[in-house]
Amino acid sequence: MPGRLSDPGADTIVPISLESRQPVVLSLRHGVSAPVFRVYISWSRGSLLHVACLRPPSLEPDGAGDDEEEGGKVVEVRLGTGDGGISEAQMRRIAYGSVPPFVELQSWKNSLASLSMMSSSSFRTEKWQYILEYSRKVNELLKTHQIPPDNVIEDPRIIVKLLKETSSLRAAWELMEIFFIDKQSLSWLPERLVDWLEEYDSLVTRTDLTVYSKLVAMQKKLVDFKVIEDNPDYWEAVSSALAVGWLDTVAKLLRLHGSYQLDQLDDRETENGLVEAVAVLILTMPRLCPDLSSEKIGQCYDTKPDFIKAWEKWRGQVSKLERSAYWVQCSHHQTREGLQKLLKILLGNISNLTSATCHWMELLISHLLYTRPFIMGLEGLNNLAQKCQQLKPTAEYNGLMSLLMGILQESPEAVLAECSRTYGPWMVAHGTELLAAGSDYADIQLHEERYNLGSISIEELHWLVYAQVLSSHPLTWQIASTYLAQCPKQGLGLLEFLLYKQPLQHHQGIFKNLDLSRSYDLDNISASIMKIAGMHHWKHGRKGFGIYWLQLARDEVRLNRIAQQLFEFIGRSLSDDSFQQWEGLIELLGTRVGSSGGLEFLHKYRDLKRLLKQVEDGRAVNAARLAAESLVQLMKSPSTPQQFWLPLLYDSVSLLNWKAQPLLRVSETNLLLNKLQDLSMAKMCPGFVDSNLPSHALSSVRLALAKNLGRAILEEC
Amino acid sequence: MAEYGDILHRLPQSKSVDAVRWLSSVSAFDRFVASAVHDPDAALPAAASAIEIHSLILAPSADSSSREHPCLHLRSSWPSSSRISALRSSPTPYKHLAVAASTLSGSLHVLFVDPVDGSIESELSIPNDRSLHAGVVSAIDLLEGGRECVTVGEDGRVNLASIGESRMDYRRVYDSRGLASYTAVRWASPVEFATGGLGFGVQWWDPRKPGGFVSQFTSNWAQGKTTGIVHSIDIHPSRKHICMVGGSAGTVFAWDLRYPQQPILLSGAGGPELLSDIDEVWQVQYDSHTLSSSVNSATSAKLLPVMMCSEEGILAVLEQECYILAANLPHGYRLGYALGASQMIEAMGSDDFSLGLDDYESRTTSHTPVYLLRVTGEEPKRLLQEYCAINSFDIDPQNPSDVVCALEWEAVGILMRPKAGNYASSFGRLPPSFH
Repeated sequence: MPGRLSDPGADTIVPISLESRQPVVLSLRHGVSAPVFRVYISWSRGSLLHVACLRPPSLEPDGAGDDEEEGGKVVEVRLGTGDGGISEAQMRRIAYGSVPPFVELQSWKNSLASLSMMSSSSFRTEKWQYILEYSRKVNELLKTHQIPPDNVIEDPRIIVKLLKETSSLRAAWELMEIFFIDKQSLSWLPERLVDWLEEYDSLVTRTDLTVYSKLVAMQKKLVDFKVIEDNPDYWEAVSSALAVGWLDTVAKLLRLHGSYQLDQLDDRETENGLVEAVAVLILTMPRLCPDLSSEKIGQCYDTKPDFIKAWEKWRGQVSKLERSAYWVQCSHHQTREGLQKLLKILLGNISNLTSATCHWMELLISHLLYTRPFIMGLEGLNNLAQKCQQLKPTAEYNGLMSLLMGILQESPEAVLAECSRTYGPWMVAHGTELLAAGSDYADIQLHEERYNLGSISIEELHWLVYAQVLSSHPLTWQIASTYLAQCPKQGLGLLEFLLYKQPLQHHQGIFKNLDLSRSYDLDNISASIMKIAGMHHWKHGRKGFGIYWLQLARDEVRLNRIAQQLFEFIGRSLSDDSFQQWEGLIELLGTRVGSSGGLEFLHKYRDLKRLLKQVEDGRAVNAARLAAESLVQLMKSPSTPQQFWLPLLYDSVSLLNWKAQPLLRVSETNLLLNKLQDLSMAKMCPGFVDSNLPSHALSSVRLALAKNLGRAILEEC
Repeated sequence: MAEYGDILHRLPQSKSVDAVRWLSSVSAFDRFVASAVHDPDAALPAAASAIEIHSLILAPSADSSSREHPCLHLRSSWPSSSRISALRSSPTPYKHLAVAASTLSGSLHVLFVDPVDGSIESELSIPNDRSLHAGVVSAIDLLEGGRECVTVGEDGRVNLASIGESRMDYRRVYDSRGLASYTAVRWASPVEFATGGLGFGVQWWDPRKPGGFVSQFTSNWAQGKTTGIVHSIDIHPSRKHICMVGGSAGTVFAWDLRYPQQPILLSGAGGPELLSDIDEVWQVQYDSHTLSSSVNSATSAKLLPVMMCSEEGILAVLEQECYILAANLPHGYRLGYALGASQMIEAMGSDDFSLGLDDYESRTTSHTPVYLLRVTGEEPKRLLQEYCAINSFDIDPQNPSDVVCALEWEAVGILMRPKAGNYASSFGRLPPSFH
């Protein structure tokens, strides 16, 4: 490959993993017959690629057989779905679940920023509580679903629980929680790490042996063992489990020892006593833990002085047993050897610890347990970890372990890089909160505005990246808005873009989109969404829906334009009997919400029709008077289309001929006559739409107007 | 964040859940839920949408708490060529359950589900050749007994499909040629139904009468202050003249056919502001589990409690405000009535009352100023406040305390409310044979 560096470790900033995958070859079945003239490739949503294969344009468009040949085809290609660790659906579930804790934390922070009481001590403790709560909620979310155990009765032969696809993501999150958030419990850091390893030992390496894998292998063989204590594997398993502090596993294993069986043949009293003594010592091992929960084996102490006192006393007991004379009397060779090895581990014999553990992380834990239980500070821990790595070097790259080293080296840059490399955008976007809480230095690093990033902070950058990932999936794009809204610099711009780009075919989707744009006060976006929706519906023949949206968007220009089309569509169908068809649409135009542009005419026209109907029925003079007023209004209004002038007047002939009194004044009648004049002028112009009225319509209107004029003049004299 | 001791169980589905429905079962132990799902990541577009029939099983909880934890077990699945737009269900006289579904591309499907094992026995379809609807079928409703299904669409068509045992035919009731769009529909009786559409318009139809709808609820009742779209209608079988309507702008109102000019507002549109005015009420359904607060004094006019779900993730039970009419009667004594709004309108006709108390709210109607005292503005009983939208829900007709809902974040929610006293059933949905 050109441009590849010969030594990737030397001068690259971001390490390139050497085991970079071979290029993947996908075969496309596009079905376009050769020759393919052009291929266009473009990204669709997420990891979807659109590949358009085109044939050369046919020179003879009417050539034979052109029907069978397609001009080209667009094929969708789905590229690889992640690294198999967490499925996409599961990742989406995590994405949904992490929205509430994220929002809660951010809204608390925002409310605090407005109060500006950053320095007070009550703030600091409150801050810890909030971040701890956030971390706990996210941690809870990363739990894989536990299936309740099938058998209630515990099998004594099950010594280790088989872990069901423990998530590496959760292991990483817990590591960050232990080091960055749980500040108060720093003194019981060793114990927390022991617990952590117990849960996630299978994840520290993918290729090498671990204590966990050893125990799993041992459990499989357990059934075949007749006399368990004769087997060196058994003793190795016990000492390994002890070295990493899995005391309950040790207890279970020791209970399988022959000395606990009732039907013993030989005289094994001394041996039994020794096994029991070691077991008791292991069970009473002092431990420094915050919660003195009963589940934990060993004696728990929550204050350091108590713990030190007990620790010294316990060590004394262990070494006393080691020097005891009973060992000579123990006739069973393997038991003697094995038990003594266990005591050496308890006493912190380095060579024993090294041989009992597999991975350097396990060695580190064994040191924390048996040689340096009082270790304080990350620096000391880091030195110890490096020593362990030298003793048990590993060639394999492991994201989790690199993350741990980054944390121990107190390098937020390394932590961030590992999070992003191994765990992806979700982890970075949410983990920055923990990282920032870890140290002031990290906090500044994350929140400082950087010129080279376009004046945004690293934190904002990662939120933006994560929001991009979310918006690339049709089911998660809506939660992208939550993250974009938190980005002070570029969030809103991208949010506008995101909302603007959403498909608007179905009204549910439009409403969801509008709901978001309104809740972020993006009025111009909601207006354009409504305009787009309006035009979409209009073009697809859903005239009512189209007008509804355009009205809400107050889009006078488009409403006026479509009004012309609508009037042509109406033609004369707006006669009395087919009125009902228009009812729904016209009702819509009567609302004062939004504007109706030129369409307002329809509403007024309908009202006039109704009044005329009442007049015909011979009802009240009032109706006639109102109808006349409305007629004049309509004829005056510039929004009344020309082609409706004559039908309007023809419909109102009965008004003009009203017997009791002239309903129109002289000036009004003149206006109508002028309009009629205009109309006959317009007839000459091209593009004139003739109304399909009977031929005598014009003359009868003229006559009626003239009559009315005469009467009105007499009246007004 | 369920209150009142209600527990919501979220059951992740790993695909979008567009609609959910209970299927009434024959045994008390097996309960079925039908869900319309959509998976945009499916390898083939044809496999992207489906109707799934799940059985609901109450498993003992993993921790020691005494509560049971519901699980859904997939019994059968039916692939749909297009995304489902509406889902309805009903028992039928032929021993199986009917599930009707319409799609965004304009087809209608009826599945017959075995009530014992939840398998799909047969299927009837009207294809999407633009004959039934051109484009989206926005809403359907299945008549109790599953004999007839009414469909409405954005294209402005209203169709009636009659469902036989082996064939399905339809007839066009009305076609507005796109001038109006219909977005909700609900049967009121075996022969009448109500539709909803743009501008909060509600239409009442009787297909036996020629022409279009029988009556229409004018859309500018809110004095042009607000407008929106009807998303859902429910009609209680014992009160056929009242349409309960939910729509845009957080609006829930009841339209009483007897007083067509005056809607009874439960929320939004100038009425009580119970929901945000940018919220969308996706569905309304009468809640037979919640007892009306004034059950003893309840007059027939008072609206029954109604449950609604919304875009902003609210599942709540709304009740009509209780008004007291303060009237100075001719004999000189003052009387307070607890009345429903429609009775209020009846009482309004008599001129001999005037305001007797200080704290009042005035409402002007066409003729007479009416003074209403809002005594107990019922707080809505919020059952859920989710972070994501609740797209759809259904109250189990057989166990009205249980609600199933479709959460936007790819999950089915099962809400189990504590079972109430016996008299709750007096407001329950009547059995099919009753009407």
